[in-house]
Amino acid sequence: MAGSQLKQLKASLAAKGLVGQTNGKKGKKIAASDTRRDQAAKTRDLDEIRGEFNRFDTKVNRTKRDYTIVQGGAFVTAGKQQNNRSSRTNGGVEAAMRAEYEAEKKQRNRTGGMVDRRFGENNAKMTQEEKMLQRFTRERQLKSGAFSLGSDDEFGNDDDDANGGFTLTHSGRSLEFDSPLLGHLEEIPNYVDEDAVETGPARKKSKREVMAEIIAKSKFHRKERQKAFEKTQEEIMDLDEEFGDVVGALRGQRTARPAAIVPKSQQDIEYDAKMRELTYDRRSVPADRTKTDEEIAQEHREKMQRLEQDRINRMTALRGDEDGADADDLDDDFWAGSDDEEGQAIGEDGEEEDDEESGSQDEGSGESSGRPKSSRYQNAPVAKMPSNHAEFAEAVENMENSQVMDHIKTIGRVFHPRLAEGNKQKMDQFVAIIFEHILFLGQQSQPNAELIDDLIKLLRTMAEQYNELLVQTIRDIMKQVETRVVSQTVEKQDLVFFVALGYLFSASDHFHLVITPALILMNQFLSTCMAEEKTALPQRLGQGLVVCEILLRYQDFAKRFDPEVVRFVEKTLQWLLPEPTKISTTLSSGRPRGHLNLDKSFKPKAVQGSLSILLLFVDTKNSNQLKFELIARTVDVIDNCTSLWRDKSAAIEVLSSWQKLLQHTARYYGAFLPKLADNLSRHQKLLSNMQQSRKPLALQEHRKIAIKTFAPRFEENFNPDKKSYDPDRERQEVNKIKAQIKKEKKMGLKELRKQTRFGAIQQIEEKKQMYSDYHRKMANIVNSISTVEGAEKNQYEREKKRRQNQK
Amino acid sequence: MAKRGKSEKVQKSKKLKVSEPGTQSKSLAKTNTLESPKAKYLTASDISRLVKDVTEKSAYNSIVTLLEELRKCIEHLRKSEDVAVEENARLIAVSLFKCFEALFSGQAMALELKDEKKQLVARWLHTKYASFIAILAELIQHNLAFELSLQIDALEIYLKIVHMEAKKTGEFPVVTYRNLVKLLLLSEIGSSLSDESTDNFLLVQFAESFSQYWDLQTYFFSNDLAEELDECAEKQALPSMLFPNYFTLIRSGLLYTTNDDELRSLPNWVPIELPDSAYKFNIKTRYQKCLLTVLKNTELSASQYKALLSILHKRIIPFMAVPAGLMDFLTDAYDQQDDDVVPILALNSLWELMKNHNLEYPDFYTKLYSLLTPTLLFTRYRSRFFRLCDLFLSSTHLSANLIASFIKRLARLALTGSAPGVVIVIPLIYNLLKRHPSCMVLLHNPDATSGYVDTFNNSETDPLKTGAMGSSLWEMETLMSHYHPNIATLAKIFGEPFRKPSYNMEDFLDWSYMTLMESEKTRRYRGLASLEFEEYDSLFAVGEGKAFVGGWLL
Repeated sequence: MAGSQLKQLKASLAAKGLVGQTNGKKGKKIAASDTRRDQAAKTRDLDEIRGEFNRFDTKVNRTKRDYTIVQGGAFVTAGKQQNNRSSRTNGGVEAAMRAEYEAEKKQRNRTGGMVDRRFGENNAKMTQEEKMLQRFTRERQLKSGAFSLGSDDEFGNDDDDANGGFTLTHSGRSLEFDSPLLGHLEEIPNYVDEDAVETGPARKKSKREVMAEIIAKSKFHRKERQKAFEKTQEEIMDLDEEFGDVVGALRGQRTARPAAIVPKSQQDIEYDAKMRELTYDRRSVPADRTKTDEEIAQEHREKMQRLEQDRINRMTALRGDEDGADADDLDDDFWAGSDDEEGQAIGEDGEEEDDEESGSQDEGSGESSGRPKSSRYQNAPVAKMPSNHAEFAEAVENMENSQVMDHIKTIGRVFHPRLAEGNKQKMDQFVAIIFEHILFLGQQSQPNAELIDDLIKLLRTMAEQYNELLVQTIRDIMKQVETRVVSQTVEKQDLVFFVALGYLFSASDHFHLVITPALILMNQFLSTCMAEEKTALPQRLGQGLVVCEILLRYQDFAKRFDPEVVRFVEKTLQWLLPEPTKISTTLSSGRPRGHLNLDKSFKPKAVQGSLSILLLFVDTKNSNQLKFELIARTVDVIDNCTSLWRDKSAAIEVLSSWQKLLQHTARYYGAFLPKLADNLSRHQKLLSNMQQSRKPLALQEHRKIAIKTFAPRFEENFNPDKKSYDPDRERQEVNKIKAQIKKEKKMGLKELRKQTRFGAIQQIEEKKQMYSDYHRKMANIVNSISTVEGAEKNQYEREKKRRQNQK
Repeated sequence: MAKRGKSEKVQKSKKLKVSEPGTQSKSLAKTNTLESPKAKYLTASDISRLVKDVTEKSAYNSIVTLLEELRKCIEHLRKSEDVAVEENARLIAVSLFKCFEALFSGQAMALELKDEKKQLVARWLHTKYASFIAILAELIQHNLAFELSLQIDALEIYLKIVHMEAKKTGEFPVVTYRNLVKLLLLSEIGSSLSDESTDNFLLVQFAESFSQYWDLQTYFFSNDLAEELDECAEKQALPSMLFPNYFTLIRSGLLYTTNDDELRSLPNWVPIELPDSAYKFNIKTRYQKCLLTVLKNTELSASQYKALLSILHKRIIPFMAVPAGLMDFLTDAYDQQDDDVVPILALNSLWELMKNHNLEYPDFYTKLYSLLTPTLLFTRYRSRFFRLCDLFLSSTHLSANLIASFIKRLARLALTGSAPGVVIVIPLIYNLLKRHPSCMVLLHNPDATSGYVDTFNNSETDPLKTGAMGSSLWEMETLMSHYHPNIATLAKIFGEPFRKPSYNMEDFLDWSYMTLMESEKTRRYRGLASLEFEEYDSLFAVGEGKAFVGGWLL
């Protein structure tokens, strides 16, 4: 805007139409009320203009920030009210409250509760009879009233209920509008009053009519559909009946017609076959490179290393418990003919298996799958799966070793788990039977050692696959062994049993399902059979010695210490050697009774080779030679122990104790035990070495354990507002929850108050609105009345004036 | 059934004889021949008639008949077992008791009557009464051909007689009861069982009432009894069963309590008020005298010795007036060298005496130390010993040398100990080390010089001079590789910081191979059993190959 202030003022006043020429015509027509409104507008406009020209007088609420930001994908002024987060959320809250309030208001006085309008229900003075009578009359009145008062009385006929269940009938048929009886009635003009005619040409249909119409229509359509369906059904029936004839006719014709399919030529067939072959053929892949010898050796070495590592892990119980001990994966290729039959057998077996598989597919029954069809087995004894050990023992009773093995292999091949369902269970059973058979053989008076070896080797290959049931069987057998051990006896089969366990299972494990109980049993035997010298027998000492050797073999790898063996060995020598009173005290020395001891004068024969276990189970009168041989074996066992436990820190105690015994032995039998002198000197050297090198223990190299303090901790940055200093964890939690509850409660109350306040404000506003509406309306009315009055008065004045003028 | 049939027959025949002597004589003769050995005995009806005679008609001569009959029956039973005769004898015995009961309740047996005739009768009756008691005594003391309910009846009747006499006279029949006691103790019936009690059924029966009634107990132990036993001993007339009999009675202890009210409220066998003397403290004195007499006069076998020692501290010492009297007995037992178990058993009682009765045992710990023998970990009573041992060594005021000796000795024992024994030793040593931190040098001694020599002398008997403090617990380190996985793990606590205040020894005392095995059996089957991968050529030594167990042929 250019020009001086005054000009500007004028211009702006003119723009608002406050100065200058006004439209005269318009001005005249302006009513008083309008004028008043204009006055207000005018003042406002004037104020505005005044403010515009007096900038210093206007107060401006300046925004703090005057820059734009991007919010919600749009440019907005920062810090503006409507872009403010809190205002927006509060605005949302307000909107929500308003909506709720509106909804509530809408529903107010509308829902909930039933108004009991029945007659006299709450009237205690009326009898039941009276009440019923009153109700009935009232009902009748209401209904008749509806009938009589209803504007559409003609349609009242439709409604049975409205007539109290009565309908007008004529000769048994109801009188309806569309019935022919009343048809003529429609011609009769309806005398209605003019207002009704004026309101509309067609009366709007009532809801009931509409519904009736719809129902009628749908009924009609349904009937139509049913009819159509029946019709098609009939047609289909007809066609079916005729079909036989048609087919007959067709058949006659078909013979005459040539076949549509041209038989394939030989070439085509070949082609198809080839195609199929190609489809199902595996993609050719490069064959595995033939490995060099070094590689094979390397692989083997790695595998052994891995197995070794596993064993060490199990031994030190490093492996987590959840992992569980699993079996070493041994070569599981026994059934592929890994032992006697050389590589050639592999191919054969493979083929046979294929044959059997295809055979079983052809015949489709599991039963027949167990029969090998190969000619090679036609002469062989028919493999029958034994159901228990007795059956098996009977079957193999008169067989040679190799025949027994063949028999077992045949069974294994025929009942291979891959061949039929249920074979797995059978083989499980069979493995248990083989194990029992080994023990059975061990119990014989002339045990077949070779067969036992063969069988155990076989079992070893199967042990992984049929692990679970084998372990189960072993545990069952162990219970029997336990009863024998408790009564201080073992049988030959028990010794075989323990040996077999050590052979089959990894005895070095820290914990082992089978080995640990076996260890306990053997040691129990060692300690109980040494309980009383009075009842001791050289045979039992011999059995104990065997057990000792088995135990030592178990500890071959883990080199665990066995106190019972130490004691047993010492006691055995003490009980068997001549003149036990001359032995200086050993680790386990007791008072010797000299019940079994050899006589000083006894001259033994030299020991030749291994001792037979059989000797330990027969009662011999002259057991002196046996005793001597036991002494010899004990010396061996001592040697064995020494090499096993030489690294133990307490080996000095054990060895020095044994040294005395060995010296005592050498005094009598040095000449008969060629190795003894050598052993003794070796022991001596070992002992002196160990004694020099042994240092006191230093097992407690730990960080010092802090003493528990009960003084409260000093808080570096103590904050009185922080509530979580409580050292009692539980109490702190409880307090936290309590505080939360309190806060929530407060919030809830606040919310409630807010709502009520909002409701109150809203009501007040409504009332104000209502009042102002009322006042405006009244003002309008008064205004109009006064206007009319004024006009009339003016007219009267004018008339009066005119009349005066006329006068 | 058979018996009843026979007796009915006899009855019938007699009745017939009375009614029609002529007609049935033949059949009677027949029955007589059939029943010849039994026909001479009275029948039930006869007996009841005789009893009625005595009780109602005062025909006292019937008593003589009954007594004769009873003697006859017993004579017969002594030779052979006969159910019918026994039944008869029982009936007679009971009826005789009824007779005397009736007579006692009446005035017939009152001796202080003025009437001379009646007094004569009463005296006569008393002699019969005495002979009846004598018969009962004979039944109780001696073996018959078979164990008979008649004997039990006799015992019961005897006890009832005690009851009856007490009711009559108003005081406890001391003499009668003492006779019974003597009979029972000197009875030859039965044999001793494995737990050194007797299987004499009469004594077992008596022991049942004995354990319930206070008066039976208090009058059992009397000075007279001790004297009589002494007398018997002098005459060399003590039966071998004396100790088992006596042991059976006292092994469950007495009802005696120091609380007087409680003592007086105990049930009594006789229905009279006992005099104050029955509740006096001197029961303990009498008890002790009897016990010592028995012990003095019997030659105890080793197992009897053990049985006695095993209950001594709980069931016997509390009822003795001066338990110190057992001192010599116990010290002898404790010092015994022949048996390893006896000192262990004596230890409990000895401790009882030391604790409550001011016994001073010189060189107690030296003796205790000497009990740690290699057999200790294998005996049945090891838990009992270690319970006490734990107690004795619990004082923190013991010298470190002593404790170290014990620790070292225990460790040495564990080197040849049974697995359950090792289970005890490990936590015990832990507790000792925890209590005596100066002994930790046994586990942790980093500043040893290069020329280190183990100073421990295992054969030294004085625990203060063994030089254990200069040693180290290599034994425990070795046991960390014990064959039993759990024991090995347990032993590894010595290599870990000693955080645990102490082990509760009760958790470790009562293991055995059986329980170890049981815990293995109940272990859950998880995963597969791992297999051996090393190969052997054969199980037993055969030829050249690598055998699993070399040196043995199958």
